[in-house]
Amino acid sequence: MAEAPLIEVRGLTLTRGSSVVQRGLDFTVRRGQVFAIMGDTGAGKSTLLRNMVGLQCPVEGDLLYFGEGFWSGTEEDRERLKARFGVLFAGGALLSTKTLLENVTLGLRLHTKLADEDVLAVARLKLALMGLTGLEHHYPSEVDESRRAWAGLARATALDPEILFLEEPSTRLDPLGARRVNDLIRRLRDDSGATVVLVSNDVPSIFAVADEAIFLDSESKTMTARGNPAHLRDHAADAKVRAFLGGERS
Amino acid sequence: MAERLSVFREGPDVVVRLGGAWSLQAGLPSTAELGRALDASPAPRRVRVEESALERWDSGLAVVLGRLEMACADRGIELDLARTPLGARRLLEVARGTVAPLAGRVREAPPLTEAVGLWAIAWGRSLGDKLDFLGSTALALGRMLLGRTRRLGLGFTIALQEAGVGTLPVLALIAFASGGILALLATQQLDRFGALLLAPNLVAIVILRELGALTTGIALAGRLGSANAAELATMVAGEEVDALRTAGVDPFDLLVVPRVLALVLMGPLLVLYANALGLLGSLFVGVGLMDVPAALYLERTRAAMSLEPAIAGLVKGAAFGFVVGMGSCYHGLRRGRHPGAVGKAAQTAVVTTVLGVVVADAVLILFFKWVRL
Repeated sequence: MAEAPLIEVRGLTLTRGSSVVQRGLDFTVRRGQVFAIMGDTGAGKSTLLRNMVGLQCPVEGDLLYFGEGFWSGTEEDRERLKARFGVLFAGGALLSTKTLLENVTLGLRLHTKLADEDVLAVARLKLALMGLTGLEHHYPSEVDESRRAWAGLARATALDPEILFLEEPSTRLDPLGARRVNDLIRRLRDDSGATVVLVSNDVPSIFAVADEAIFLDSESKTMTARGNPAHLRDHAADAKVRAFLGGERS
Repeated sequence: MAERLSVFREGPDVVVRLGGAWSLQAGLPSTAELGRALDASPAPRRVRVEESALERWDSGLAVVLGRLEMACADRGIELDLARTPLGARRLLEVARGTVAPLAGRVREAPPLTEAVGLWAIAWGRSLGDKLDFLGSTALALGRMLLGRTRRLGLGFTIALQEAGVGTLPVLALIAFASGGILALLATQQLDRFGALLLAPNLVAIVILRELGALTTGIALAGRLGSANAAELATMVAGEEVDALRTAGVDPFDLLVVPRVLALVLMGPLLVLYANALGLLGSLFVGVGLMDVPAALYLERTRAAMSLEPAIAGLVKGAAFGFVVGMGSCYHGLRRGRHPGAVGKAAQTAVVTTVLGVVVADAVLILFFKWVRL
């Protein structure tokens, strides 16, 4: 029997302010999959992410994590499920008044029973994994944009989450940095069995890491394609999707 | 559920079995038993780590393996990790050197002499930094007086306005209320001894010599101490101060001297204003509430007024302006480059400038007593 999907999106309608940006979204994400959400400008990728991580309630539909209703559940249920997520917002969204180390330790102190020295050890490990050894006591304003993005990634992965949401993880990085992010995503999937939801328009990265992708279209306000990125590039029914992925333009 | 970490001896080897489900949420397993096994006699030759019924692992495993690796290296014991998860070994490569030692082998606190030495060095550096700031301000002031500073007049005008006109409303309220309270207490107490008519003299001397200047100092510290520090700290965090330096402008010329000078010049004028409002408040209470005839109150007040206490008050005003200006600019520029420094700078500036005003007041009282002013 096939394994039940880890994430199920059922008939989701998303709004930004009073306007509908996407309607009738239906898709599933399997455990251990790297799943990319693509779309043209204004299509609602970030809005979908906000709905998926519990920052904004959809006007219609629901999300299921591990078979459990997210928005149809209680606030307590949502908080319990959210403790199993890691989220990286575009740019890192680090707390400016805390050092990089303090940013990473925040979740560890809140959600684990680790002793203080263990919290610091895990946080240092995460920062080392992102190439930030020696910068632990720097404030976000004291490091460059790419390092802020790496520190954001360290914070997002601090708790070894089962589901990792990454918004534009490689946008602020040079090509070598983007490649390192791709390696990291693959390692998280292969070594830790993490499921990664990637919100990105970085086409080379999507090809490098994504097992499956969807395309959100701003004109029709719905999902117009779903499948393996390479397959979509060559065979998507929508010419816009093929063009987006660098394939045949029409 | 299988134990996450079990340790046993097997001939010359210590065997460490990894099992169960590792989860950061549950905390890390204790490594005390492992530490004891490594220190046992006879010393083990090798530590062999192997997984057995290991359901799930996470970063916690890499941290524990990293600590074990350090402990083995310290004791010259061979470590065999071949039978641990490949992913954990990859993580360990990264974790190497980032984790703290095994439990029970933490770094001891520095001895008292070292702690005192470190404190003395830090204190000396801090004092040196303050003297450096004072010297830089004096040099910038000298440049300005010699006309070697570029045209930066607008900053000075704004600083004058902030220190002067901007402080008038709050100072008026504080001075009027303080004068009134003083008059109320003085008339009540002196009336009990039949010396009600001495109250205006006492109130006028206290206001002119002390209260007017002190309320001015507190008002300046509260209002401009925090504002200057927050504004300058924001400029430092936003790299505006670096931008000034690269444009060839000394921040002391543009940011410090105008503020300090404006406060030193406005201090005495604000003291005059506070004195006037304080006397008005005392007159209002003395005549309005305590039924002292207005003509008599005014005459007694005028009789108590002399040049010496007024001069003392004006000198204090300038000194308090200097203390507030230097303190607020110092904390604004030297608190740090991160956004969190802004709040800290404002808070520290208010506390230190209020303290500075009170200490300067005490020193000046002794000085005036010495010079018989």
